[in-house]
Amino acid sequence: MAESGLNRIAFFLLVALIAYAALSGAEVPAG
Amino acid sequence: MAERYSGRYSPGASASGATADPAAAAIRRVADRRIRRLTLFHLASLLFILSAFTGPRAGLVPDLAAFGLLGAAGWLTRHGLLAEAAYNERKVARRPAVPRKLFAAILTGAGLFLGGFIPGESLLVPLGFGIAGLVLHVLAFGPDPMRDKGMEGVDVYQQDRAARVVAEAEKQLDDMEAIAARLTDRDLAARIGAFVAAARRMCRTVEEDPRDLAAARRWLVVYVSGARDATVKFADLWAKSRDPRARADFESLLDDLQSNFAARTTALLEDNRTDLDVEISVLRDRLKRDGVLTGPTDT
Repeated sequence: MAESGLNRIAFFLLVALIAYAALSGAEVPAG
Repeated sequence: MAERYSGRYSPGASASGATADPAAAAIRRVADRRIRRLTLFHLASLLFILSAFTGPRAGLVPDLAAFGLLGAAGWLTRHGLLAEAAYNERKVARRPAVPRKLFAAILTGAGLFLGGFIPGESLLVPLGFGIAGLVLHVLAFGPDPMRDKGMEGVDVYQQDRAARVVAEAEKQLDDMEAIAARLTDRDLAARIGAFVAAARRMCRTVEEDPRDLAAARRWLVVYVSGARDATVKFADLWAKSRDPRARADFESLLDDLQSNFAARTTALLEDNRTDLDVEISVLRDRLKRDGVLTGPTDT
């Protein structure tokens, strides 16, 4: 299957979602 | 040892190694690119390790579990993409036995659910993460191939047998390519590559029409393994003695094998045409007898 723009956008959104889910649980020290 | 540089456009480059079929090569390229991009996915899931050790203590276990699940999801996605590429390259293929990308999507959802989970708080947020992860994974990588293709009128039992013979032959051919890569002699490697390509064409032909197995079995089993053994022996000898006579003998053996494999593959394809001719003439006779076709229709 060829890769469409939707595939690519969804992939980057997925990566962003993972990063957000991980970082929202981390306690970032207040600076 | 040193090896002369050679790129895609160097003389003789196309004869060795590279896949003969440009469509298959394009499919591989897309799959490779998507697999490389998975690195980002793994990097993002690494952040869960950070979160596990900097967040509240209760989040440690769920965060580590999320990291593990996402790692497994990435691995499954990789294999799902490889299986899909193998499926797309072939005209005749059965669907992969395990829908790897689908399982990967579920694992991604589960991982994000656990990763977003905070003890004592509402489950709505982690559920949202999980569902969004599942949906995005499906959108990003698509569904697995779910249907057999080109299997009409093919005996599944016979196809299994053909697939086993072809898999064994491909293993031997892989060995030959590995040996060729170690020879550090471009011409020899190209010779071996050309033979391997001819043999692989026969493999594809048999895969596409397993009825050819009977005619091709001896070639794919006996001659391919013979060629591999000869290559191993020659590589040993060549490494020690650089005997030009042995080299000439080996090259002429490869030439013979290659032209015979090519001729045999053509014959197999011709067979298919004979089958078609028979099919057509039988149907024509039938139509004529039933009075559907009238007049001189023999073309």
